[in-house]
Amino acid sequence: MSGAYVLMPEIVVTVLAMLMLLLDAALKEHHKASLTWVALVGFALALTLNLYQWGDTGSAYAGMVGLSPFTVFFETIFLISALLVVLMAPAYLRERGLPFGEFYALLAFAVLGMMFTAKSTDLISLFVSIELMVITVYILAGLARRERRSNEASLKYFLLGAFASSILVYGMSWLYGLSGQTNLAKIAVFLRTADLRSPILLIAVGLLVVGLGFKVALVPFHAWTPDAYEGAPTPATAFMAVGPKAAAFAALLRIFISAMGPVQADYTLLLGILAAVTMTVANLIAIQQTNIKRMLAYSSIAHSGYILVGLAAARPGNSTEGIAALLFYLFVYSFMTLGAFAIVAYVQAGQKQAESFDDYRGLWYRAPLTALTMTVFMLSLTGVPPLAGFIGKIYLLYAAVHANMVWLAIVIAVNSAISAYYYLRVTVVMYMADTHERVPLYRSPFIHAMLGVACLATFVIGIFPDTFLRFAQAAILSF
Amino acid sequence: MLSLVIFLPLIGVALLLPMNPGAKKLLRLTTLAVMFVDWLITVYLMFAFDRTTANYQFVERHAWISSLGLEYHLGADGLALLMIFLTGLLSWIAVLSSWNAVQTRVKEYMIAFLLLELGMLGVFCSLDMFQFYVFWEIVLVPMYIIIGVWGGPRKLYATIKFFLFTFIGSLLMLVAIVALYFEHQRLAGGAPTLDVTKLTGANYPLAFQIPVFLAFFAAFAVKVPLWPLHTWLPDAHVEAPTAGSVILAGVMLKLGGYGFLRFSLPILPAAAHALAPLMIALATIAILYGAYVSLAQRDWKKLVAYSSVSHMGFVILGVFIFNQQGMEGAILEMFNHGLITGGLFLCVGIIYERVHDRELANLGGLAHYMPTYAALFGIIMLGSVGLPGLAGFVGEFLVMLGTFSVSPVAGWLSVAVIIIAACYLLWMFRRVMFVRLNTPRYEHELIDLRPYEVLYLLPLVALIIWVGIYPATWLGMLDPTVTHILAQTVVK
Repeated sequence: MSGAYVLMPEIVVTVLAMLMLLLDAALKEHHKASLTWVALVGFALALTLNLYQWGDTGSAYAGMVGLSPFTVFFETIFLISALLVVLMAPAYLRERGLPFGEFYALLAFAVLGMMFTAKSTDLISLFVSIELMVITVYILAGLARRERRSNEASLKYFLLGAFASSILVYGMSWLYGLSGQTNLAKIAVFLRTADLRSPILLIAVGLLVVGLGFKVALVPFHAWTPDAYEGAPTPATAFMAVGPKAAAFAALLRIFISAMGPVQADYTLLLGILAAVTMTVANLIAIQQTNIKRMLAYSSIAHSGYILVGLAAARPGNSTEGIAALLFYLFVYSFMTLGAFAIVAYVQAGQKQAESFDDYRGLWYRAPLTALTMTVFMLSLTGVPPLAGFIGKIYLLYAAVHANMVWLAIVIAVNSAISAYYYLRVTVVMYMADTHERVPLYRSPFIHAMLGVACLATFVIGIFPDTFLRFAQAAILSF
Repeated sequence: MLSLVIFLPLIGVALLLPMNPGAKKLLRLTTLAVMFVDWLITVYLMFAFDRTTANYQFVERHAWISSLGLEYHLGADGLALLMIFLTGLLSWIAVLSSWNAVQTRVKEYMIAFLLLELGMLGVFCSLDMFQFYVFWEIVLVPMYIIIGVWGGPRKLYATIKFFLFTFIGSLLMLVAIVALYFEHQRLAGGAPTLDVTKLTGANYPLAFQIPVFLAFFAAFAVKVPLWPLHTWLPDAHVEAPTAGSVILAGVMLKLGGYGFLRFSLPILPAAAHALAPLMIALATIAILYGAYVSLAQRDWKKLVAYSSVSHMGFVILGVFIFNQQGMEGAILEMFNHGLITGGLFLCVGIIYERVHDRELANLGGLAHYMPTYAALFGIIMLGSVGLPGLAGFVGEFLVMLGTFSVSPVAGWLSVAVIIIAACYLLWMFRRVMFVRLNTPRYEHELIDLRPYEVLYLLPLVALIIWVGIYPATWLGMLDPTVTHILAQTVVK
């Protein structure tokens, strides 16, 4: 299989990114709105090509990249997220005077990094793709150059992220030193016959978990998340909450399942404890928040915990339900979280800050449909039927119980109840308080379309999840 | 047919959505019409029901999430049908009672009640545990909104407490359902399923049954509500709008009792028997506690709320004594309680709508101003006391009859409570209705019942008298069902 076929969607996204930079330089100011359409078309094309590749497997460039249903699934998540972020961005960016072309170009490069992360079958390409993704996201976080918080967000993310990346590559180097290979499949072959108690292997695993755990925002590597999410421009935050997290999980899966498949069973308890601590700490801190973006940041940390349960419950060769649950939850999580952040961006677009709960008081009275959509996303994040979030949670419970980790299932259940408190508080403020101000909301067909899609997806996946469950289950059949 | 009953409210929602929010009369009429038609279908089902068999009738079955073996599976036996009839009845009565009481955001109010009805009907008809859980949770959100938007002064505290309490119980039940799913597959082999008819066949080890029973208990006991998990009830009932209280007390509490009968007992018989002494003890405490605390209440609605705790204690008592009379009494008590306590809340609501006051000390001598009201309220109140000839007596008597053969202590204690019940109810009635206050606060507000108020109280009063005088119509539906449930509850 030729490299060009394997990398078709990536080529499209690269062309899109370059094109965006060129058009940004060439176009006059008032033509810049068309950049949104270019971005939409580009990502849609990449998504189509990606789905066209469903069912194919192949490898290219001496085993550096591989194509499989796994990569198609993840790239679907990335590209749908990119499309939804492009839809939510224009209103917010225009109001704040932030550059369109740069935003879309950075977005495209970040998505490119993410796509390569999913396709990487080698430690080197994995690291390079992660770096490509993460560095562009650092810049995206700081895009609002004149806002102090945005600079703070970007700097904190960058400093801590650089540190984490170095830990990650250090872990990779230990793994290379142990096995003599950088190709993940070959590492797996080596580990099948290796001494599993080797301290070098434990160090390598520890470093890798820390490095990737940072990107995914697991506790205790989450300290950058609230500040970075709060300070970054909201469309960038929305993207950060979904895209890099999904890509980091793809990398985690690659390393733990592909490379370390033979030894994965030893680390399930570690991963389980990490997941339990993450979700509990994040949910408890989220209760205290008064800024909605910070609350959503802690909420996304908690969801990382839920998602990690899928990996902890995976028993390669015995029960792969855990991985399917992880994939499915990532899929529904993207819609819910992007939707919630889009509402935040929508409410913010008409006003300056509008990030505290007080700004949402009586939203039902001035914008009932917006309030209703936000309620749908909040309930889905809590895990209330018949919404997508519930199906995701129940599938995780299924995986956890099937892997004999009932204690982890109970932790998820209790955490869902704890999280209900702060998700419901949003609805309390919207429906049950009132304010006499009637600040009008920004009207934008793009963001309306995006919210409609996200809301519809949440309902459809919640009521008729079978197709999507099968999609996730088929994605893990061959790595 | 059952799908139509469950999803007709959704058609109602679809009709309401494009309507102008200011067209209040149209909104109310449409909702009332949809709910009334839904109730008529349940009446038809009551006639079409075959009383000689315990099999599920009106069954509908489709694959839903085939990758996990979950189905869309509906069916009704005597217990379910009685509950659906009650739900349909109380829903339109509740909407009718809010005709003039609710003037703000009428559209959303009606949509919330329609969705609530959908959820409750779905719970009673579901034969797949996953589907049951989905409908069980669907009930939470509309009720949360109803209390939180149209409720009283402490509505936020009450509604969040209600939601969190119920939600955490349900989530623990969810983990247990997933565990049951795998355990059943391990024992029975074949494709995994959550079909109730299949789950009841297997013989689970006791060490598995007890935690699962306790997890189910967490969900059902909070809903019932069984002492000591009842603390959400007084706040929720007091702060909810009248119609919300009627539905909450009339139907939503029955979800808990139904859960015990449909799931806990047949699927986990060994655990049910092992924990029966505990359940009987808690039920007896609930009966006593609810009655004594009611005696001390100054807020009218809170008095009725605590009387709910007491009456539902009878239900749990009847369930866990494992005999025919007790269980039939328990189910009939569920039905009666819906009628009677629903009626009591409606009566409180009628006065509250007029004077906006629930303090018993401020109300007196109402019978002199509102004789029709006094008559209807009197009948409902006597039903709650358990006067023979009215509904309450039949249920309580059957439960007590069954209890004596199992636990004389519990029997004597619950009989004693009849006296306490008479105390608090008759004392309340006398103070509010007959004793004139020296300085009456309210005079010209106390208009006697309007025609539509009589319209919604009459069906309840009529049914209370019917069940009291000729309960065989209703008990007849339950005989084969109860026999079947008891047969499944025998420890193998």
